[in-house]
Amino acid sequence: MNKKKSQQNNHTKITELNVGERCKVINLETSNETRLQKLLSMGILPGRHIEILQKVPSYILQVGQTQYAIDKEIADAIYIEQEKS
Amino acid sequence: MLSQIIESKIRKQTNIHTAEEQSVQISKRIILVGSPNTGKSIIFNALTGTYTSVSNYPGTTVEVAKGKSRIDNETFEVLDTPGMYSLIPVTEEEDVTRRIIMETESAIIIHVIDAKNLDRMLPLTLQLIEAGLPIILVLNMMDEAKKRGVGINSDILQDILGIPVVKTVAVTGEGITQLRKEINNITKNQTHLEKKQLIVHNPTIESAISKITPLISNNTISRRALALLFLQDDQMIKRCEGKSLEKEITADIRRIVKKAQESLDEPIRYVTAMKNQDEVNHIVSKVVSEVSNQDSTNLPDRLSRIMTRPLTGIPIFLLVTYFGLYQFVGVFGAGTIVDFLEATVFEEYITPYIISLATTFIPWETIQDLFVGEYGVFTLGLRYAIAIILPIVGTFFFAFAIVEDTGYLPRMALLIDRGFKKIGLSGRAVIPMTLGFGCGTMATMVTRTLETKRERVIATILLALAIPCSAQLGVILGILSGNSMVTLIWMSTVLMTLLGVGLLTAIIIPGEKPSFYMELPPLRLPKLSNLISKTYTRMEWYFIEILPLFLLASLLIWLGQETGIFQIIVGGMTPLVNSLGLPDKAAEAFLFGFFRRDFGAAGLYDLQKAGLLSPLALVVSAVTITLFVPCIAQFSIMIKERGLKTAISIAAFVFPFAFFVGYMLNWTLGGII
Repeated sequence: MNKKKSQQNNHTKITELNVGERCKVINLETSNETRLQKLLSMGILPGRHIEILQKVPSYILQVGQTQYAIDKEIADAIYIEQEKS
Repeated sequence: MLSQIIESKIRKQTNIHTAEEQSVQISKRIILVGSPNTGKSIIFNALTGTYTSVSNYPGTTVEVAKGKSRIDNETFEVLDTPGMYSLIPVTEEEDVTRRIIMETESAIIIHVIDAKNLDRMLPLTLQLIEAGLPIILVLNMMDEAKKRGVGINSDILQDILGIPVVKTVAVTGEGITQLRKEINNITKNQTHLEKKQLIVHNPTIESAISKITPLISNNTISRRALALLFLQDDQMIKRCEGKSLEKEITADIRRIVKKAQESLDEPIRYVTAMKNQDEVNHIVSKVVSEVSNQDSTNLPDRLSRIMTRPLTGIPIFLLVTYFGLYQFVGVFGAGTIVDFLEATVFEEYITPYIISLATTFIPWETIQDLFVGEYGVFTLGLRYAIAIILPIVGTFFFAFAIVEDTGYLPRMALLIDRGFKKIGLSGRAVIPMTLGFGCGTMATMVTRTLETKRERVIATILLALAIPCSAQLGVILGILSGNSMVTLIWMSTVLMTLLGVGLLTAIIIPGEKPSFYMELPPLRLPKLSNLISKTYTRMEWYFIEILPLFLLASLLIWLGQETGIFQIIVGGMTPLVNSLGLPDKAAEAFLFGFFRRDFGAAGLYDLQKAGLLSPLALVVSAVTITLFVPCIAQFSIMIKERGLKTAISIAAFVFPFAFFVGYMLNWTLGGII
C-alpha cells in the first residue's frame, strides 16, 4: 500500500463507530511502537474483521473467536472501513 | 498471572530437591511456548508429572518452570516459558521467552495454540518455523473449537507447514500420548516432513535480509530469522552488539536496517506482520472447514454483557465485593472461623498445654516469655499465623479463585480501568488492589504483573498507605461498629486520601501513562476440585513464605521489650500521639502496628474497650493506623520487589503523612464530634 492511498483511507477510526457495528481494519497508526506491537500481538491487523461489542467504560472488540478489552488510547490507533452488519 | 507466580513458588519450595536429586543424563530439551490462555501449563504438567522446579530467569523477576519427562527411555528437560504472542516482545515475559528460545541449544519447541483461534496464533508458528527450529504444533482445546463449529484438517496443515501437528484436549489428557510419540519421532529423526521456507517478504526486506545474513554466523536460530529480528527490533541488535557481533558489524547492520526502513512507508515490523498474517489467512482458508457464526444469544455471552456494561456491571461488581470480600472473607473468614480457632481450639486446648509445657521445662521467666509470653513466638507468632491469618487468607484465596476461574477478573478490570487511570493505574491493577484487602504483602508481590515500572511504584505506594488488609480491617470495623457516623468519617477520609495521593503521584511520577488491553476469556463454571487445589496450593505457599516473618516479628517485640528499646521509642512517640488528641497508650499500639498491622488495631481495640477513646479520638486513631505503616512483612517485600531506595522513600512518605492526616482530622473535627 503506498502512502497516499493509505492516508485517504485513514479517515475513519474504530472509535467513531457505534456498538454493534462491524468493520474491516484498513490501517494502524504506527507512530507509537509499543502500542503498534500490542495491536499486532492481539492479531489486530489490516484485513481483520472486528465487531464493536461495547464502548463504555472500555472498548470490547470481537476479533475472530476472541474478545479483547482495550482502552480508548489503543483503540484510537485502529483505522477501519465500516461493513454492513 | 497470580496463579503462575504462586504455583511456581510452591513448586520451588516443595519439589526443587526432588528435581535436583534426579541425576539422570539429559539428552534433549523441550521448550513449551505459546500465548496466555492456551493451556500450556496443563500440557507441561501432563508431560512432566511432579518432578518440577522453578527459578527466576537471571536478572529478572520472570519465573520459568522446569521439569523432566521420560519418553521412550530418554529423559527430556522440559521448560514452561511465560506467555508469548510474538517473537517481537512487548512485555518482559515475552522477552525472557525469546531469550530462552535463542539460548537453548538443540531444543525441541512445542508451540501450544488455542485451536479455535488458529488464524491469530499461527503467525508465531510461522516465525518459529522461519527460525529453523524443530517444532511440534499442538492444537489444544479442540473440544471448544468443535463446539464453535471450527473444524481443522490437521493433515493438510502438517503438509503445508512441514512440521508435526497434534490435536489435544489437555484438560482431559486427550492427545498427550500422540504428542509424546511425535516428540520421540522428532528426536530419532523419524519425522519425514520436508522443511520449507513459507514466506517471501516484500522485496526491500528480502534484499535487506540477504545483505545481513553474510555478516552473521549461524546461531541457535537461522541466520534468516535473526536478520528478520534485527530488521524489526533494535533491542535485538543492541543485545548482540559487542558480544556475539563486533561493533563494526552491528553498525553495518543498522545501516542496512535504516536504508530498508527509509524505502518503506510503514515500520518494518508492521509490514512483516501483515505479510505473516496474509500467509496465515491463506493457510487457514485451506485447513479450517467452516466457522459457524458464534451464537451471541447464549447464556455466557448474555451474562458477559450484563457484567461489562456500567449500568448493570457496577452493581454486580459491588455485590461481588460485598459478598465475596465483606461477607465471605470479612464476616465468615475473619469472624466465624477465626473465633472458633482462636477462642476454642487455641485458648481452650492448645495454648494452655503449651504454656504448661514451657513453664515446666524452661526455668527462666525471660525465656518463657520469648515462647509463651504476651507476645511470645508461640502465643503470638504461630497462633496469629494459624488462627487468624490462615483463615482470612484461605477464604480470600478461595473467593479469588472463583473470580479468576469464572473469567470474571478481566471483566472487573475493564469496568474499573477509566477510574483507575486517574490515579495512574490501569484496570489490570484491580488484581493487586483487591488482593490488598486480603493481604498487603501478597498484593505488593503481585504488583509485578503490572506493565510499567511507574504503575508498579504507584500501586506499591497506595497499598502501603491506604489499603487496609483484612486482618486490620476486621479489627478496625470491630472498633467502629458501634458508631455509624464515625465509620463513615473513617471510610471517606481513607478513600479521599487514596484518591488524593493517587492523583498526585500520577502527576508527580514521570513515565509513560498506563495502557490497558486484556483478553476476555469466555465465562466458565469453575470446577470445585480446581478451586480447592488452587486455594490449597496458595495457602501452603503463603504460609511457608510468611510464617518466618511472623516469628521474627514476635522475636523483635520480645527483644524490644526485654532491652527497653520499645519503652524509649514509645516515650518518643507519646508527644506525637498526644498532639493528635490521643492517650499515651496509643503510642504502643502504633509501634506494634509495624510488626503486624492488626496488632496495632488490636491495641486500639483494648483502649476503646477500656473507655479511653472519645468518638473523635476513635476516628483519628482509626484513620491514622489505617494509613500508617505497612507491616514488617509487607515492608520487606517492598524492598525485595522495588529495591531498598524506593521502599525507604515510600516509608519516609507514608509515616509522617499518616500522622499529618490524623492531625488535620483532629484539628478539623475538634469541637464538631
